[in-house]
Amino acid sequence: MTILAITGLTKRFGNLTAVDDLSLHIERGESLSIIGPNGAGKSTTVNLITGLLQPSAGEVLFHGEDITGAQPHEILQRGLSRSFQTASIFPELTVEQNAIVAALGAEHGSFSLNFLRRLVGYDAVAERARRTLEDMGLYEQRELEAQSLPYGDKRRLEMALALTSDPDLLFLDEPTAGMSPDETETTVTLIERVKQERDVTIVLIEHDMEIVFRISDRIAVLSQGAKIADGTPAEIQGDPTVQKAYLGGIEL
Amino acid sequence: MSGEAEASTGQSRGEADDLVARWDALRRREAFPAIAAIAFVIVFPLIFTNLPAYNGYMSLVELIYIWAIFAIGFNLLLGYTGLLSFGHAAFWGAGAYAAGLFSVAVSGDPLVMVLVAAVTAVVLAMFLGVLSLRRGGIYFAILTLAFGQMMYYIALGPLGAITGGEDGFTGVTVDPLFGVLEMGAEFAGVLGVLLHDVGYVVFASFFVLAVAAAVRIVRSPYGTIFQAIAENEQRVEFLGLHVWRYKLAAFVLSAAFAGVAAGLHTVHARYVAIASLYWITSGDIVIMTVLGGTSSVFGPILGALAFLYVENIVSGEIAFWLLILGVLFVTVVWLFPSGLWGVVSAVRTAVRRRLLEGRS
Amino acid sequence: MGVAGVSLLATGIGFLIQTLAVASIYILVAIGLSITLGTLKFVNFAHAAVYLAGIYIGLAVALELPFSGDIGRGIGLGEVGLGLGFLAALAVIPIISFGLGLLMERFIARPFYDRPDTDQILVTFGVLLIVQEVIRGLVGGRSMTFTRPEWAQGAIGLGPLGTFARWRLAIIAITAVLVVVVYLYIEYTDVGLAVRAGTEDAEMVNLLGVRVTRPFLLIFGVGSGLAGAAGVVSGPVFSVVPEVGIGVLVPAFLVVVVGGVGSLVGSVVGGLLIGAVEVGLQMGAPTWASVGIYALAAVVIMLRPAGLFGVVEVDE
Repeated sequence: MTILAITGLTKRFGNLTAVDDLSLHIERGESLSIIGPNGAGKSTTVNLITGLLQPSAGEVLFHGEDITGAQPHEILQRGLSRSFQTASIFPELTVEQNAIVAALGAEHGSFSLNFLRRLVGYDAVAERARRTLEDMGLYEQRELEAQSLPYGDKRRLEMALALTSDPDLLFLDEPTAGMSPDETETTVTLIERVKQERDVTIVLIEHDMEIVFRISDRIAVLSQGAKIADGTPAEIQGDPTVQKAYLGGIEL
Repeated sequence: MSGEAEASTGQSRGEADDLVARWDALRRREAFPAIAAIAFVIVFPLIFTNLPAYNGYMSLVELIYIWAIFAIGFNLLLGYTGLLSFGHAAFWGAGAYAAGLFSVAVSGDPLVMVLVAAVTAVVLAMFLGVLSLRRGGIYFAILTLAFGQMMYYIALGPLGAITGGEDGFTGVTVDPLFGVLEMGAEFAGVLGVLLHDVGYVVFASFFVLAVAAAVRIVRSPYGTIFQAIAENEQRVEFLGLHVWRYKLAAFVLSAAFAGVAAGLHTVHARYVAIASLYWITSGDIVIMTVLGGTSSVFGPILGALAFLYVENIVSGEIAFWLLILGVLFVTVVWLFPSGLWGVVSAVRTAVRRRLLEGRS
Repeated sequence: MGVAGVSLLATGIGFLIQTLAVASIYILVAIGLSITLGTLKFVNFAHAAVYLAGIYIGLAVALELPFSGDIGRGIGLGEVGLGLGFLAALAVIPIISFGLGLLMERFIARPFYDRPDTDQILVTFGVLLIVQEVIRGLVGGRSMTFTRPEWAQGAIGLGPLGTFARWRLAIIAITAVLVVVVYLYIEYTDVGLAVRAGTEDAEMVNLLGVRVTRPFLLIFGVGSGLAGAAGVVSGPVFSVVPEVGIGVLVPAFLVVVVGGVGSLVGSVVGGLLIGAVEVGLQMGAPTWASVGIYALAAVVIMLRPAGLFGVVEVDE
């Protein structure tokens, strides 16, 4: 069953076409990786889908419903979620408070007029926040200020935030960027665990081919804004177009 | 925080720990801020009116409460949500004029006047908020300044016949509270010493309510969401929360506090000055709030206190009082973001540490 | 062309000259604001402090400055004045202001580059307040006269087209010269190139990391120099009171917003627009004169936040 269907997605910045007539479908439960050389339009595509940018043309259907150009909070509320390349957290709030914000997004709806409600007794939110932190091994640090965490923990918190809403579809934007081999291994194991334990479709933007081949069921290759290949890891490995797209060719 | 480990000095150490722990638990309880505020309004005037150079009238104390309400609300927007408005005089002035006009046209019941002022401010804020919140940062500051000034000039010129123009709005009539209690009616005996007169009870009550409301808001999901928006707006949006609406909510809530304060001010002063819409008033509330400390609900109270004290008392002795405030203000922005309240907090923390370490 | 036509033309020219005169001051102040905001991403309310300095120091240089404020009297400075005349002030003040600008950059701007917008606004607002109050303390708060130089007094008659105050024409001429000079400087020198590149590519400025390279410092200085010049020039026109700093800051910001951040052309066009609206309304519907410019700025921000010529959006 197709969970996300992208048709003819295009984004132009003046004369530059960052994403060119991209069509892609993502099946429920699979792990898709989007790869491509720098400037291929991978991040732009994610930004278009998740509502950070307005498409110049094209259509995005999520669960069969049109979310093209919708606002991010709407898209999130429907069950899509994303993490960011940098650890996009709330630095001066505690780890627990970070999780609570995410939990509020999940339990509280996009907006509520009730400004007199007590957060302390808000069990659903507290419970969800606790679960998320425990799941990611951050419960012990819950009272610490988020900015005091080591970088690896910050990235984990970042992912925790993205996972709090129990999304149906999760975009991970270069989750291992700038990580040491140890941290990378931890992150990849984490992603594998998430894949196993939850009913979530994962879309991964990655540069590291080892990770891509380890995790993905399917790979889409972008180059200069257009999709040039789409298939299983084995199919992509042998595709000459793909090899050409990477200048000098990377050993796949 | 257990005293058992150090058995030798265990007794006094344990007692001190226990005391601190119980104090903490007490502080976190729902009713604490309200009760503390009530204690404050009883004790404060007794101390304040006996300070040097003070000539012992209650009016300034009441004025402090009124501006404190304004500042507490303003800080929900500035300190918590991170939005700096240079046009909040618009809500203060609009509320004040609304209350004044209402008292002449319909009824001088002080409570209703305050309600009218608050509603006016809220409606205006919803309108101005939609217009001003399209952009953040500097644009928001300039837009709010622009709208505030627009209202000033409209009230001064075209609407001068209604507002009284440059001379301000006179003729505010304030009826007795609930129809029977004159605002100036003094209490006798012990009640008189503690509560002074009906008017004081009204102003003090609103102050307590404002503190309680602000604490409640901050302890609600709104409080956490506001702070998150101030730190990383984009992430909040990507967690499924409608950031723009929450910003508008912060804006409107701050205006509501301003409106209540403005209504009270009209009741208090029985006059509305055209300056209440001028950017200087907007600047004053910014200074007060920042000076007091933007990181807590209570900071702005100190800020209002300090500002009004300097403006009304110190100014009698020293001519360059605004310069002093300016220097304090810059110092706070530069070096002590937690403001005057931060100083109080630091003292508190030092005391706690002393208690926890025992007599050493 | 009948009588009606001539009188219409006269009114038109009168309007034009008035507009240009008012716009001139705003433009001179706005340029510095705009460039600083565009290149350094720094919101500088204290820019108006340089303007204030320009007026009062200019007064001291050109004529004399009575130190009749509370602090001034306390120090017993009496009256300080060089009496060198207006042109001397016009020559000297921009240089002094340039220096003030460099000092401002070093001691106020630099510590705040990485702090949030709101902190920048707050601290520069505070500095402006302090400067305003120091001036008040030294010199006093009552309005002072900055008499116009003799060659600029009186009016020029253009026959049936009306008479026009010499001073207004002088302001326009001085401003035009200054603006052209700065424009040429930015367009045709290396320093100017760096600044233009900076305003057009905020990304590059960030990547460069080092905000304080000499070109940017110089532009900070040049902007301040213009503000000081604006002070000297506006002394004889506007009232000389300490509050006039903030009084000119607001329209200047509106000009920056309307014209576009980081653009000199934008500041000029924005200034002309704001001047035109203000003067026009003053002639037609005086009570709405001030309202009009705020309404104009508000509309522009809402529809085109980068301004008419802006290349940079200064957003969170």
